[in-house]
Amino acid sequence: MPFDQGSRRGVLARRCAVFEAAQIRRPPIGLRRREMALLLVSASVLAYQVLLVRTFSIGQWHHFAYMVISIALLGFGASGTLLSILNRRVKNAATIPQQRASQSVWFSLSAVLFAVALPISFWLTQHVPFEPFLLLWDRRQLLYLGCFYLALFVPFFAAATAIGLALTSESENCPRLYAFNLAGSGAGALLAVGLLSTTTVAWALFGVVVLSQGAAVLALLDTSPLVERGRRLLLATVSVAIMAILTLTYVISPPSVRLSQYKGLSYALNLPQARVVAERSSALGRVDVVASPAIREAPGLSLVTPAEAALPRQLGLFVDADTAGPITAFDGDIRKLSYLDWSTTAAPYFAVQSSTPDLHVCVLGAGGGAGVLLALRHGAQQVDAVELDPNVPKLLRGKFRDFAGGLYDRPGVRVHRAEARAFVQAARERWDVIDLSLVDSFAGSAMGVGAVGESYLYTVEAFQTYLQHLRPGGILAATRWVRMPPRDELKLFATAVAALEQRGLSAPERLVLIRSWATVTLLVKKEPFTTPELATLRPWAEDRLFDTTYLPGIRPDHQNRFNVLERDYYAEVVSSLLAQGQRREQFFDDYAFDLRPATDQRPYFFHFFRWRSLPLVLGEFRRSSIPFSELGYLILIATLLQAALLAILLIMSPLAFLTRRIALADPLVAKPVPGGAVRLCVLSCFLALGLGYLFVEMALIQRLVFFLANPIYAVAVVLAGLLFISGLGSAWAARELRKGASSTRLACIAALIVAGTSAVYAFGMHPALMTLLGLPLPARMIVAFTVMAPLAAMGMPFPLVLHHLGQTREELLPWAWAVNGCASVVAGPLATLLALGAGLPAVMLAASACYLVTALAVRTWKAGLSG
Amino acid sequence: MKRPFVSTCSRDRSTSRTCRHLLTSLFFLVAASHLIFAQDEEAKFRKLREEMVRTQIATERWTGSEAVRDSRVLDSLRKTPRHRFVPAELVLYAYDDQPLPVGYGQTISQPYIVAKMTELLEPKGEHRVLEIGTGSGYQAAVLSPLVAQVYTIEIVEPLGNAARQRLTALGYKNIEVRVGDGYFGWPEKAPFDAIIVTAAANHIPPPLIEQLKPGGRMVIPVGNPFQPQMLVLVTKGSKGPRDIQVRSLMPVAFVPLTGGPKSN
Repeated sequence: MPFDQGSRRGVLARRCAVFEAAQIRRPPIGLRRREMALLLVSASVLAYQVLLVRTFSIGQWHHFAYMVISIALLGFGASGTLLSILNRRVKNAATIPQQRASQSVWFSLSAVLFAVALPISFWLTQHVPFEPFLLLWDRRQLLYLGCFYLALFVPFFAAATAIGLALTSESENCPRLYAFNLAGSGAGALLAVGLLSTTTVAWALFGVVVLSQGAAVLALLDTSPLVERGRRLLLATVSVAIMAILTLTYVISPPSVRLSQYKGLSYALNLPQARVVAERSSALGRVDVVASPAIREAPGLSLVTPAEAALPRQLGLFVDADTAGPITAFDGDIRKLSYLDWSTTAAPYFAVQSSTPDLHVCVLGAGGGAGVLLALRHGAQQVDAVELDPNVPKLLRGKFRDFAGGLYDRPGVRVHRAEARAFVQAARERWDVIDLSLVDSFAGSAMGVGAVGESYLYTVEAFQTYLQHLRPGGILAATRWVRMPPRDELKLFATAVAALEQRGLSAPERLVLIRSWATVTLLVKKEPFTTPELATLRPWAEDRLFDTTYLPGIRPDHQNRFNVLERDYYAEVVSSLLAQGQRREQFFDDYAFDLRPATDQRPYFFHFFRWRSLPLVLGEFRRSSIPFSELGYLILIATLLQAALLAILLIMSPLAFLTRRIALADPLVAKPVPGGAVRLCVLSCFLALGLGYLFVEMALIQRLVFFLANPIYAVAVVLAGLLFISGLGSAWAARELRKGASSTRLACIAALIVAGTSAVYAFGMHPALMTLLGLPLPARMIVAFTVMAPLAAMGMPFPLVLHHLGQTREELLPWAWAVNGCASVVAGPLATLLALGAGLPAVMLAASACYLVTALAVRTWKAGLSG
Repeated sequence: MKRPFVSTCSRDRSTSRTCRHLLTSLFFLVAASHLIFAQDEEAKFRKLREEMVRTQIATERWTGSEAVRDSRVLDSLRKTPRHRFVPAELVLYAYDDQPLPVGYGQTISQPYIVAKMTELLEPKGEHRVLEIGTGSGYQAAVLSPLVAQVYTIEIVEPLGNAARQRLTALGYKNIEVRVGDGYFGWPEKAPFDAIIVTAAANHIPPPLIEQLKPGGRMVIPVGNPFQPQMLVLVTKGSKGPRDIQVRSLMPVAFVPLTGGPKSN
């Protein structure tokens, strides 16, 4: 599960608090309504973000979602600029009541704009014919991308303005309001997950729209009575009318998610007589089942498959509109499915068949059940089918039960709704075959967009776990698509070598690699492959025109016979990987793709990009490199560059212009210090805080994805949990402040606590969590919250430092806001790049460093002021 | 521009006549310029095609990439009006070194790829060729002058119909387009000397291999719709059904792979 959708959450909360220090002393007005409005706006803006990521994952690819959403988040930064203008205008108003009245009107206006812009922006994003993959070929796409940005910018901008105004208008109640803002954001995260679990994206969005409208109505009711009655009525009537029309339009024709024409589902729907026969939604993904006589899936089927091994009828299964394997018609007679034996995926069964009478099989990522059928075909007594998405087995057991021959209810077949790695890790069972076949779509793989997602399935530790769970003589089998030049299929091999060696086993006798023209299957054993096993496999592969790229004792002239490569990269790479020490290291350093095995600390199996090859990628970009470059990674870099550039353009430069006009001297400061030093302190402090918070959040999400064994739970727990917990922290800080504690001292201590905690977590958290992996889910949830508890301190430095800044150098507030805004926008892609390059502990350490810098900056700043 | 002109000249008869004359001559002027312009356009496109063949196809563009040498293939590419096969709004890019989208998630391949695949088929004047995945029809059009007959099947109905109309309008006589599922080939017209499967597939349909003549060649681009990562060439020998040889070729050179025992 991508981290970004989570990591941005803190942005909202913290940015809003920027205004804490910007308030002018004024009595509270309509506090309860405003608090509620604030809560609802915070909740709906956050839920909207989560829904947008889901929408993009279905219609496009989630990387583009981050690219677009990072722009939307700039709305928050830019609203800061607007607010500082508004603040000045409001201050210029003649009387305090007038100021109040003016502020309340602006608040209602922005809340209404948010409620109105939200459904419109969603509608627009689903109607602009933007195709990310055409960006290189079709220049109009740039225009569409611009439309996307604009459409998403408006609602976020409006929401941020509303939140900011709410917080700035009442200084005394700011900490309280801040807590409402945080609580709202946390609730929004939970709400989004809840809605997605019960309904489709479009209707989940409807819930969010209604919520935002509730906020708008509350804000309208909150409009100061000092505003002329006629104007108030007009504003309310017009707003309510527009919202009512929008709601009605939405209900009558709810927007549907527009699918990119390059998604697997779009291709399937172009087939003759194609129709969607089932559609299910959960927070994990949308599942579609398509029927068409032209749907046939048999990855890498042998070219000499006999006519009698024809494919049966199949239905296409799609998760988030990407191909996720077929549902195969099965009438109970497994002999009819002989085509299954003509793919490389069948290899493990031919190897173990001779030796095992009582075959136990574990199919990871069982999906539509092709792997289960294969196991049954080879007489498996027991098959454990592991599938994360609950909708897939539900469909096979419900609507398509007859079609699939009640596959998942057959005696001996047990379906486990779980994340594959965690399932194996916690299992007491041992198996003869663990099957890990093509657990991700061909499209995603071919498009090279999988580059930045974490996966704990294909790490060295995961392979060790799988090996531990093999019975004596058992085989771990993993299949991947052939790619040119080869990447993931050989990284898989490297991972197996590392896992075997770490167990003190010699790899060359325990590995087999079989290659068809389209797929590669890796077989790994704890024990050396036996002569009878090899004697079965060799002719089996030959019969099917599969090459044995690697077998213990393979002859070099037997590696590249049937599917001839002009240059046999496979053999070259395999021999380098099996070589010891220097030669292997040299190979890793030299190969154009990063083939070093993924580990739990750096769980990015699909990350192959190397900076070294960037000039080559760019040099050939338009012409030839699309299949070769790892697009996901390049998009990430583009996102970072774009965010940095626009942050400077939209947030920093207007402020540079503005602050020049604001008086620099502040009479409250008794002893002015050189402006430059304070500025530097403020800058580094807010930059560090902006980066640090998101770094912690991102690293936590990726860790807990593994621990909670479910990306959705992880995101929900971390988002909601961290927001609530740091909200508590800031509420506590506010109380201490009222008791007369020093804000800088508190901030310093809090920052040091976070720095210490993250440093410990960098290395200690994963091993600790590993030992608790066997606990039931509720217990693991509690553990997750306990892990986050010390991070309550994260909610403190920000409001405290702002408070201090507001009291001492108010004129720097817009700057603080801007710097923090920029940092937050940039932090997401930056954290991912860091994790890809150096691993998750590095991200945690970087967070720790950020908080240290904060503590240091605050100290220096305070010393500078008092000394 | 025209409207004010017409309205002012409808005041009296004499002016109206003058106007009519003016309009007529204007019409002829426009028509003539159109004709000249069209000829210009054609000449321009011909030049672009020459340029395309010279710079993109017939030369070794990068170290490691193979130029297309077959002069018949090059000639066919010089003659085939690629710009008539791309969507109207992309005509400007028709001869650029890139694939172009033609809708329904499909593309018209990069000129070099089309040329390379055609060359791999080793087309002969008497050959009968089957194409699975007509797309815009460009590949079939390139094959047309090189072989006796091209049979092409497109599964997406609107694409297939548009391709049929386009090919007919352009005067291609030896191309037969069928809309339907290409999985089972075209048994009535089988066997074929060459088969090209341009539609992405997770497996090569066994019926297609059956419909390939002994000695025949089959090319399948594998990868994403914009750029195949490899071209799979299947050659069928004459020693029975198991006499099949597969070669995977990288169509484009990329990052030179360093390291490994045999490299550099």
